[in-house]
Amino acid sequence: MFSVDKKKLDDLLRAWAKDELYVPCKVGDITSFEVYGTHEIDLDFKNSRVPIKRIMFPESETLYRYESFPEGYKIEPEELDNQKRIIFGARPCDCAGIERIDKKFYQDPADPYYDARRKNTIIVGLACNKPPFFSCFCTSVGLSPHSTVGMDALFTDLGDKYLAESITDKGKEILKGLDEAPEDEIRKAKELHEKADRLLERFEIDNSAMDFDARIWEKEAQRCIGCGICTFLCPSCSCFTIENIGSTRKGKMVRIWETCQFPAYSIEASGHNPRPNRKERVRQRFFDKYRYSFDKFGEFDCVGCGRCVDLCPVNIDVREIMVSVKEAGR
Amino acid sequence: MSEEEMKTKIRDLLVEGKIKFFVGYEKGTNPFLARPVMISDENLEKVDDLEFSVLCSNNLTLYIIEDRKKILPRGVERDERPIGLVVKGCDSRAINVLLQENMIKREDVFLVGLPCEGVVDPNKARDVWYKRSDRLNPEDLEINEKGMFVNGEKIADFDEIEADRCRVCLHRNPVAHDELVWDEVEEPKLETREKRYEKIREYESLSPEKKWDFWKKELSKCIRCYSCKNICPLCYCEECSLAKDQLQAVSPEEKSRRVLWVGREVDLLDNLSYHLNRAMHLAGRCIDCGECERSCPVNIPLRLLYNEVEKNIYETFQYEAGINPDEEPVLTTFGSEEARNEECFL
Amino acid sequence: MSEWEPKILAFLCNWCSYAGADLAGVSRIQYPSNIRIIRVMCSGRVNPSFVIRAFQEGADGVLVGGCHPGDCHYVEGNLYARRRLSMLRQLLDFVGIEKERFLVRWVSASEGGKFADVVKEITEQVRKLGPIKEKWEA
Repeated sequence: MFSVDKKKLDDLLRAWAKDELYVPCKVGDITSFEVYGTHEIDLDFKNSRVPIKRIMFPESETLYRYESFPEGYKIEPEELDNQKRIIFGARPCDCAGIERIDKKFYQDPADPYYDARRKNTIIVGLACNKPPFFSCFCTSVGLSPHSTVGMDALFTDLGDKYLAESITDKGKEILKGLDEAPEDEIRKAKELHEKADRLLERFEIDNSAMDFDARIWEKEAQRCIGCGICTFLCPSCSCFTIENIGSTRKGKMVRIWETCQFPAYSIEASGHNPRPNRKERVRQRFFDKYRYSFDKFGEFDCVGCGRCVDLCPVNIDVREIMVSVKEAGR
Repeated sequence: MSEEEMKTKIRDLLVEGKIKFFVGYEKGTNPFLARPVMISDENLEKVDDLEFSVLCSNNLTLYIIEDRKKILPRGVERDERPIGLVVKGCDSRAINVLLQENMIKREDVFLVGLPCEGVVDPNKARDVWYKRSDRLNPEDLEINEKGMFVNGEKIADFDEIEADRCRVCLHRNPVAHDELVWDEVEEPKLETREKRYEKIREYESLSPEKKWDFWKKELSKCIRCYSCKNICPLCYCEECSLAKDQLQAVSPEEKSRRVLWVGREVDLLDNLSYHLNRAMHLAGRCIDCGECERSCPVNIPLRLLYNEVEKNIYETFQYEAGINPDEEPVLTTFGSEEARNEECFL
Repeated sequence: MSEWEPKILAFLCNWCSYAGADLAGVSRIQYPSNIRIIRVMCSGRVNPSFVIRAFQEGADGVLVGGCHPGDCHYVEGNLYARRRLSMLRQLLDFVGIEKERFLVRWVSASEGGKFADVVKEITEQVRKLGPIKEKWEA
């Protein structure tokens, strides 16, 4: 455990900025993780609009390029991105989302593009002393405002100082040289963590009560507009599509973020769509986050960050639905 | 008619089976937004919870299109009864544009008009609430036409949380309606039209470099989620030419003829291409309900683009979208107004 | 440092302006070689997405040529084009792609000289403005 004086934080960040350092910045009305020095830093933030997954899994990236020559096609895989990066100030829910994405991308065979970025990125988390959104519910999905899942080090704001705790070896590496934290600061951080835990209202999620044929999916899906915001801003959603950009003579294959909420996601070559209407797609989202991932990996995909609750234009509230699912199951 | 009488009328229409379902607003879990609710004869008790307030930001005409696009199971006949819905001033103009384009017939909808003096922007309201209150649970929060109140204490004026589009609204009363929830309100004075384009003219006076820098900064944020397109009631094409999110079942020949003029990559030029093309597709059709900008997760000032096109159309052709359902849409006819306007050519 | 030459893309309608360009060639009238021509059947075929794509791919200027209003081979195609493209021109100007980069001109099949003048006009205007600010790397 180490102690960092707030006044010395800039020096520490500047030292870390030798690698590409991402910090939460104020960009217009929203907070976004940008490269250190390009925008005004904002550590008093609730949570960034777009989660940190975009740093390791960008919205679109080229996989390989091809060009046709008289002798035949030449295919060139894109160079892997081995840039060393540090992300500072990621909230525990976003970091837990990265851990969920890791589980998906590292299934055999591991994704080389994601792997190159992931293993060269160090994630430093910032605990939530006052869980930001009224829509936060990380304690209901088995996480907490000070969870260390998915991060290499955890900073806790103690007022005029930060307490820095190293979680992995990478974290230990970047915290080398900092002052040891005194006992009272460690105790204060623990108190703040427990207080934050109590601030969040817990509700129970019973995923065995989720019924595939229940009427609730139809009712909730009636007002869904299929915008995809819930999935694009979800810290653990990682679906993508692969598109061909260019002509038969010269072009490239690009990987782009995709969402199960678009009709085109599940359309088959014959034209049949197994999820033709909103009801099937909304139901798919709930089952994926709370049932299928639980069956496969033993934990909910949902990390309780609350972005989907806050930003859904028609107020489809995952908490409301899971509570009524539990009520119906009784 | 009073609100109670209105609710009784809606309930009667549903019970008598005269309308398929009714779309209105209800109180949800988001304290800054009254969410859409679909009421059919199976959940009639919801009619009592219908809300007509400053939190009614959504444009409900979208659900007419959504209902039309629904794919029914084999053997199920489409229900051709009309749909009832609540429309504010801006929303009713969308109905007129749909009528002009022969997308719906007037008998397909039953309109409950809501004369509106402005609604609350949920994003602004949320930001103000975080900054000025320390609450986590919004049980003591109340928002009405006077402002935002926590435990009876005012923390924001209505002006601070009003949606930008409402400040420059020219049509507060529904231009098409079958019933009105309450009496019509006073329409804004003529000066509002100039005020509408004030911000646009400011931007127009910048140098090309500054204009480009501004749009470069804004459009680099776009993550191509297509929520602007999906929430717009006038973007009703079953297969959008700018976004491959809604593919239709077609033959292999038709599939091979799909041309992609707008790139799918998420980079500045492709984003610019998507937004410019969409602005052109909405030329003379956008009614400025502002939902696109409201739902944008990264806060891109989309209304600037669409209002610019709206201003050019108004100045050249004196045409306003959605006022007269019998008028021909401006870009599907020809005349010579644009040749006489120096700004357009040369 | 090499001299930058503007790249102009032209959409010319088959019946009038393309024939006018042919006439300019046959009459040996000199015009700048910065222009690349795409033949379309009518100027009304030109979709705003073509013009935007042209700028995206690196064209420094775009020219749309059609029959004179009233003389369209398809009666009214160029009138629709005029209306549509005039709105596009102002929208492009709003985002920073200057008006002078995008021209719509009516050139008939017998106006070889006028075609050459139009090409000279747009090439000089674009040369003064400089290269387009941002373009795709292939």
